[in-house]
This record gives sequence, structure tokens and C-alpha cells, in this order.
Amino acid sequence: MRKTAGLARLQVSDEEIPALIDHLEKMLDMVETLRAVEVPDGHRSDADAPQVEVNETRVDQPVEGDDPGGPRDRESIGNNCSDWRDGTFVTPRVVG
Amino acid sequence: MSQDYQLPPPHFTVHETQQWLTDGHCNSRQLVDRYLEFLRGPATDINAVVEIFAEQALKQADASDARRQAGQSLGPLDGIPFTAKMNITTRWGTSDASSSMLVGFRAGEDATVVRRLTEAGAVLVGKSSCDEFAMGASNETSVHGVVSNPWDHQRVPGGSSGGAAALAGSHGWSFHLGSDTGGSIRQPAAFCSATGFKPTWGRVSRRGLIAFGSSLDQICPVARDARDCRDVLAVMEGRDPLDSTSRDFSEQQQAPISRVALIREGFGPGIDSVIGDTVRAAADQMAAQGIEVIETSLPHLEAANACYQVISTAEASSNLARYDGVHVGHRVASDQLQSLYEKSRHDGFGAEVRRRILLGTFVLSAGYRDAYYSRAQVVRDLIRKGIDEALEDCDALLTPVSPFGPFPIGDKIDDPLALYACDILTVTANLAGVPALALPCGFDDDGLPIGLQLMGARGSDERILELGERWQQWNDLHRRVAGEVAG
Repeated sequence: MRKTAGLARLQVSDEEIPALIDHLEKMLDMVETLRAVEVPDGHRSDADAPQVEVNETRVDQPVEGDDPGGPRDRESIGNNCSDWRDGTFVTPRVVG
Repeated sequence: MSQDYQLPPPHFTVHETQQWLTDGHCNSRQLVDRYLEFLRGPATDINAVVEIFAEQALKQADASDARRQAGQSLGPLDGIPFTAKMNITTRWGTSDASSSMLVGFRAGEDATVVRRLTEAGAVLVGKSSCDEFAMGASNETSVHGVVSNPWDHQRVPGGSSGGAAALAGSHGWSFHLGSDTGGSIRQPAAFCSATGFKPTWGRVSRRGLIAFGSSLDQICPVARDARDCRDVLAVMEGRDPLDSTSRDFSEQQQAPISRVALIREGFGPGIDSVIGDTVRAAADQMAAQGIEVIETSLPHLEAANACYQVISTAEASSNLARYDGVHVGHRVASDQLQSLYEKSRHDGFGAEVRRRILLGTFVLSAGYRDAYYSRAQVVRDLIRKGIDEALEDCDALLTPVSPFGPFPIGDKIDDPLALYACDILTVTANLAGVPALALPCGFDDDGLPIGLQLMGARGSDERILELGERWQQWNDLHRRVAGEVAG
């Protein structure tokens, strides 16, 4: 559980772990029904593109600020960040 | 003081309300003004609405009235009030997906669907509550509090689009945007006696939808009847350059649906017998109107929920990785970046969201991916093929929406697996990407709503909605709203 929580970048406390393990075990029991499904010989599944034949990307060209998907002004982005100073996201020091 | 205009009855559909406006009984400002009163009163009593945009809405209503007077009305939605779920971005207000993680988040732009609807004259009046990040079936995990079912305030409205469905179940004149990843528009629609429609995946742009499971998510309308859903779909649908998975669907002129198949497994053990009987009675009613009703089998229905749990949580763990406490959302200060991430995500996400992220991370992790995620993709493929094969012998598949009716608030919130069981009949449509419609089909002995579900082939949205429209000509269940005094 700690390894999975680390991969998920989620803090888990000692008190939370027993209930989380219990839940995960119940879910994995439920998911066992997937193994009971008979898969025809030679069946292949394209896991990465299950539904769309081709994704159609838009033309790579600049978009004006007022147009849908256009660039946003810095402050409106910064307003959604809890620590925004001098036009940048502030984080704890990560180098040096 | 007497008023010199007359408002439509509260149960009126959007198209009836539009006709009312056209006939000049009232104008859009008067309609929207009264609808805002409903939002501030009864809708607030059941906690369905989070934000109300009164000033902007009245301005939009005035603009609609001016167009109407000039003979330049924009069509069936012009001047009609609508709301968006909290996980759909809007230029006004906040879009927090009902999560502590995003409280106060201002997207600054409208989702493509909101923009298209606004351009068609519809009037955005507010935002509706939902389960946190659209993960839930009871609307009990919203940071804005529990939403009540309008038919019984001690019971849940369903979820995750519980606020949207509760509004649609309480009052007409309007439509509401929700989203559906595993049944999140259909199950609450059934619980609140509203009509909810999940379009074919890819038919409606997801630009501006705060993502949960991208291969399953779809923005959906919930309203009084199927015709309203069709009118909303007609404005929302189609290719959007800002969503590379969106596509145009042009349905060829096809014969109306004439053969419907009951899915046997949808009436088996675990399905409330009153609900099963009510949906069978609805099938009999269809048969009496000349629709051929047959029975068929979907052998992988039982595995569908397990398949859904694996795929949806895997996609959620990936989609929600972006909430790191740095760029947007809740931050817990720390002098270490790693612990800033971990603490911010622990405190910002609720318990249910954290459980799903952990399961999703686990099924994608090295050593387990093949056993769980890849296996689920194979089963998904078989489920899709099973639906395709079943639809070779009929035009639509019929099941109940939910195995049980609206349950008391607090009844299942401590038992996640019991809540997940709500989805067993709805997840198949998301896994297969097919359109699915929830229609009111009766009430149980306690006066609680029951819904039926119709699923069709990918791209057959209009045919499914047309059958829904016919069904609603044969009964008047959609004309009953919660709390309306008879007569």
C-alpha cells in the first residue's frame, strides 16, 4: 500500500492503511470476475485505441486570445495557484 | 399587484416553454426571473445548486427577448434557462468538480458545449452540485454537501450528476448539463424522475469537462423529456477542434425503431423485483403500441462492472495526477516538493477519490498491469462485441437503469462496494461507447421514481431519442415534477 501510495503521490497515515488494504482486497476479489470471462483463441484487443479509429488533431496555427482555446493572460492562471509570485509558480527549492 | 403576463406550468418541457414564449404569454426575462426564484428557494432547500448567475442570466434573457421581438429568435433553446454541473467549466463563477482540491478554481472559459448552447440563445443560470470529481452514485461526496432527492428529501438523488437531475426532477422550463462516466446522468435521472441521455462517445466535445475517465466520459443533458434532450444534443454535438476525439455523426434517414430486446441479465438476481416488473410492464406497453419486444442475453454483463472499476480508476489515477498542489488547487505548504505533492493531494481529495486513485495506480503498476488493466481491456472488447451482436437482431436494448431505487442518505456511504453496485446496468454503455437513454417509467409503492434504459448502436442517438419521444406520447410520467400540486 505504501508503494502504491508513493506512486500515486498520496500521503497515507498508519491509521488509514488497514481500511485501505481491506478495500483494495475487496475490489481485487470483485475484479476476479474478469478472469472468469472466456476469451476466444487468438483474440487481441487494441488497448490504447479502443473506440476511435483516428484522432483528428487541429491545424497547428496560432489562436487569438479571445478565440476558444486561445492563450490566457498570466494573472488569470496565477489566480488559480496558491503561491504565485512575480508571474511564476513558487515551489520548494528542488535544486542546489 | 397583478401581473400582466402568465408563466407556464412548472412541469412544462423546454419545447412547450419555447412555444409559450413564442405565443407571448410571457417573455424570457420573466421566465428566467421566476426560475431564479426556484433556484434560490426549493432548489437550495435540496442543496442542488451551488452558484447562481442572476445578473448575467437576466442580461442574456433581455438579449433573447430583443431577438424575439426583432423576429430573429435563434431556435428551440433561445431564452431557455440551463445549468452546468460543477465539473463543466464556465466563464462565470467557479468550476471545482465539487472537490476541496479545486475550491475557488476559475477556468476563465466556457466548455465548448456551454459556448455552443449560449450561442444558441440558452441562458446559463447557475452551476449544479455533483459527487467529487463525478465519482459516486449518491451525491454524498460533494464538498458542497449532500444533495437531497426532490421526491423524498431523506433520500439520495443518485449521482454523480445528482444536482442536475434533482433540478430536472423538480421543475421544467429548463435543461441541465451533467456528465456520465458509468451512469452518472442516467441513474440520477431515474432516481429523480427525469429524462437523461448519454450520447455516443465522441459525439459531444469533452473540452471543458474536468476529466475522470476519458475513454468513458461524456457530457450529457438531463431534462423533462426526450425531445428536449434531442434539441440540446443537436446544438452540443459535432466536431470540435479543441477535442481531437470528437467527431461529426450524420445519421442517415433510418426507419424508426421497431424491435426492442429485453436483456435477460438485467432482470435477474440482485435487481429489485418491483423495478424489474415495472420495466417489464413498460415493455408490454411498447408492445401494445406495435413495437416488437424480444429477449436477448449479454453474457458479460456481470463482468462489466469489474471491467469498469479497473478502467475508470486507471484513467482517473492518470487524469487526476495533474492536481499536484503547485499549479492549481489546494496546497499544503512544505519545504520538500515530494511531501508538498503528497500532503496537498491527501488533504485536497476526499476519501472516495483517494481510494479510486490508489486502485487505479495499483492496476497500472509494474507486475499487475497485465493481470488487471490489460485483462480489463480484453473484456471491454468482448463487451463491445456482445452489444454489437445483440443489436444485430434488434434496434435497441432495454433494461432498468438501476438495480434498486433511491436509498436513504447515509445508507451506503460507508460501503463503497454497495455504491458501486448502482452502476451494474449502466456501465456497459460507457464501456461500449453506445448511446443510452434513461426514461421515467413509473413509481414504486413509496412514490419513488423508477427509470428504464434504452441502449442503441454507436451513432444511433437520434433513433433512440425518437423512441423515447414516442414512449412519452404514450404516458405522462414526464409531466410529473416533484412537489407540484396536482391540478
